[in-house]
Amino acid sequence: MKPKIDLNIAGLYLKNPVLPASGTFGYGIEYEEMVPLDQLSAIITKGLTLKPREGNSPPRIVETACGVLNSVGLENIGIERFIKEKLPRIREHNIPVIVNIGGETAIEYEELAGILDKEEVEALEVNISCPNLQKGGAAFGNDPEIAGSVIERVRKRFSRTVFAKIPPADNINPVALACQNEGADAISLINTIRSLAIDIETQKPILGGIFGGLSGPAIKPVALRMVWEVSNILDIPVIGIGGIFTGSDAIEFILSGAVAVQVGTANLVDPLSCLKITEGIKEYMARKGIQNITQLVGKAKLSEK
Amino acid sequence: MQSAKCKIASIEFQEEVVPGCFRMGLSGELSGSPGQFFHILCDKEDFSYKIHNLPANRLSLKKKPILRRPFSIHRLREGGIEILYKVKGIGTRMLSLLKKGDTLNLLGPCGQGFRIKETPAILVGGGIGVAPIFALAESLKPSSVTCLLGARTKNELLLTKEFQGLGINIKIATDDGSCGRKGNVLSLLLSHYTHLKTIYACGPLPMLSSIIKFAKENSASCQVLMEERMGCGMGGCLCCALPTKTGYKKVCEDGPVFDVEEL
Ligand SMILES: Cc1cc2nc3c(=O)[nH]c(=O)nc-3n(C[C@H](O)[C@H](O)[C@H](O)COP(=O)(O)OP(=O)(O)OC[C@H]3O[C@@H](n4cnc5c(N)ncnc54)[C@H](O)[C@@H]3O)c2cc1C
Ligand SMILES: Cc1cc2nc3c(=O)[nH]c(=O)nc-3n(C[C@H](O)[C@H](O)[C@H](O)COP(=O)(O)O)c2cc1C
Ligand code: FES
Repeated sequence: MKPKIDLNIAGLYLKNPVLPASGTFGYGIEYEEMVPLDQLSAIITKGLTLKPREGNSPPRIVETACGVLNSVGLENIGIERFIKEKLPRIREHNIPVIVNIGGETAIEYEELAGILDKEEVEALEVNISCPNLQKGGAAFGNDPEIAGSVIERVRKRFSRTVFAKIPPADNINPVALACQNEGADAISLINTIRSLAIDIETQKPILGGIFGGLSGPAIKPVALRMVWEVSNILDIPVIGIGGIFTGSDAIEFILSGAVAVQVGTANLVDPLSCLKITEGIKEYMARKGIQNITQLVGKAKLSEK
Repeated sequence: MQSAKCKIASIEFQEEVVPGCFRMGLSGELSGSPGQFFHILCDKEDFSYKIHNLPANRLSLKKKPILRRPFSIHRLREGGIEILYKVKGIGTRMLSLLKKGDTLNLLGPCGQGFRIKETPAILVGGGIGVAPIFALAESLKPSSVTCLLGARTKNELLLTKEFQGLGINIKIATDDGSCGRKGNVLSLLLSHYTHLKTIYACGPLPMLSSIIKFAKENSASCQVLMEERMGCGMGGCLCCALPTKTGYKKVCEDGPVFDVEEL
C-alpha cells in the first residue's frame, strides 16, 4: 500500500508535507525548467512587503561551519508587482500559493493581508521573524504582545489559512501561544538565527549587512528542540524548519511534533531537494511499515509523557 | 535525478597547470557559451545529495562545503567542458583532490555570457580571470583579437602558450616586471585601445574597477565578468546582488557578464 503523506491545515490541502522555505526558492517560477513544480505541495514565496525593498548591500551570503549566513534584507519587488507579474505565472502550475509577508509596522501586515485576501492565494505566512530588518521582523516576533497583535490584524483581513513564522526566541512558547490565541492556523519555526562572521584579513564583518541569519545543518538541533517544546503546548499544527537536507532530517522533525516541514538552505544547493526529501519520507515509511504519516507526528515524545 | 540544468559529469582529467591552479576536463551533456558558468558541488557525486535517507549520524556534512561554487566555462568541447580554477579555500581544495573517473554534480550553464560584437576585440585577463577569457578567445576570429594578460609574477602567468596557439596577438604585464611590461594590465590597455574596439575583461576587482573607469571615460564598448558570493546560482535567493545604475542586479542571472553602461 502507498503510504499516506497528504495533510490538511485549516482548509489548506497539501499533497505532501515538504514545502520550500521562503526566500530559498524565489517565486518558484525561476525553477520551472528544472523542477516539476506541480509535484510540490505548495510554493512559499520570497518575503513580500507593501513597497519594493532594495535589500542590504553585498556580500549577502557567507558559508560557516555546517551553515550559511545570509543578509538579503528582504529585497523584493513589492506586493503590486508580485500580483501583476509573478502570481499568474505561479498559478499556471496548479499548486497552492502561500505568500510570505513582512513589514516594519503592524499596519503594513494588515494592509498586505487585505490586498492578498482578494487574490488567488491559498495561505499567508506572516514573517515576524526576519533577523535582517532594522524595524519589524524579529523585533515583533520576540515579543508575545506585538506578535499577537500582528496576527490579530492579519486574521481580521485574511479569510483563509494563516501561518505565523516565529523566530528562535528565548520566549518562543509565549510568542507561539499568543499567535495561536489571535487566530493563527499553524506555526512555522524556526527562521534563521541572528549571527556574525568576521574576515580577519580585512578585519571587518564579511556581510554588507554586518549581521546575518544562520541557517542550514548548524541550526537543526536548536530547531528540533523548539518544535518539540512548542508542539507540546499548542493545539494548532507546527511546521518544522531548520537544516533539513534529507528525508531522515524531515522524519526527525515529524517525530518531534511537526506535521510538515520546510526546506531552505538545501534548496540553494539542490533545487530538487523538496522532491527528494519527500521520496526519503516515503521510503522510511515503507521500511517501517507505516501507513499514515500522522502516526509519526510527535511519536518521539510518547515515552516522555 | 538529472534534469535540464542539473547534470552529472565525469572527470576526464585533472592537471595542475601552475602550483595551486588546476585544469579539469568534464564530460557529460554540458553546453553553454563563453562567460556563462557552472555551479558545482565540490565533492564526489555519491553522497548526501543522492542518498536522501541516511540516518543523520552517518551524514558527515560537517566536513564538506555546503554551498555550490561557481566556475566559468574555460573551454567548450565536443561532449564536455573544461574549467580552470585556483585553490582558494575548502571547496576548491576538495575539487583539486578529485581524480579521473570521479563524478560531479553541476548546475548550469548559468547566467548571461559575453555578447559578441562584430568589432575588433581587446580581451583582458588578470590572474585566474583568464579562465573565461580563453573560452571567448576560442570563439573569435584570431586576427581581430588582441589579448592582454596580467599576473603578479611570471610564475603565475596562465595560458600564454595556449593563446599563442590560437594565433592571437598577446601582450603581457606583471606587477614585478618578471615578464612583459612592469605594471598592471591597465597600462597595456592604454597603449592598445583604439576607438571602435570592444573590451571584454575578467580579473580581480581592483583591475576591473580601473577598466570600468577607463571604459566610461572613453565611452568604450566594454563588457566585464563580475564575481559575487552566491547561494543558489538560479536567481532564487537574491544573495548575489551587484549594485548597478538601476538598482541591484543578480550576478547569477542578469550577469555575470555586464555591460559597463549598466554599472
Ligand atoms: C561567475 C563566477 C565565475 C567564477 N569563475 C571562476 C573560475 O573560472 N576559476 C576560479 O578559480 N574561480 C572562479 N570564480 C571564483 C570561485 O567561485 C571562488 O574562488 C570559489 O567559490 C572559492 O571557493 P572555496 O571554497 O575554495 O573558498 P572559500 O573562501 O572557502 O569560500 C567560501 C565561500 O565564499 C565564496 N567565494 C569565495 N571567493 C569567491 C569569489 N571570488 N567569487 C564568488 N564567491 C566566492 C565561495 O563560493 C564560498 O561560498 C568565479 C566566481 C564567480 C562568481
Ligand atoms: C537566502 C535566504 C533568504 C531567506 N529569506 C526569507 C524570507 O524572505 N522570509 C522568511 O520568512 N524567511 C526567509 N529565510 C529563512 C528560511 O525560510 C528558513 O526559515 C531558514 O533558512 C531555516 O531553514 P534552513 O536551515 O532549511 O535553511 C531565508 C533564508 C535564506 C537562507
Ligand atoms: S545566487 Fe541566488 S539569486 Fe543569484
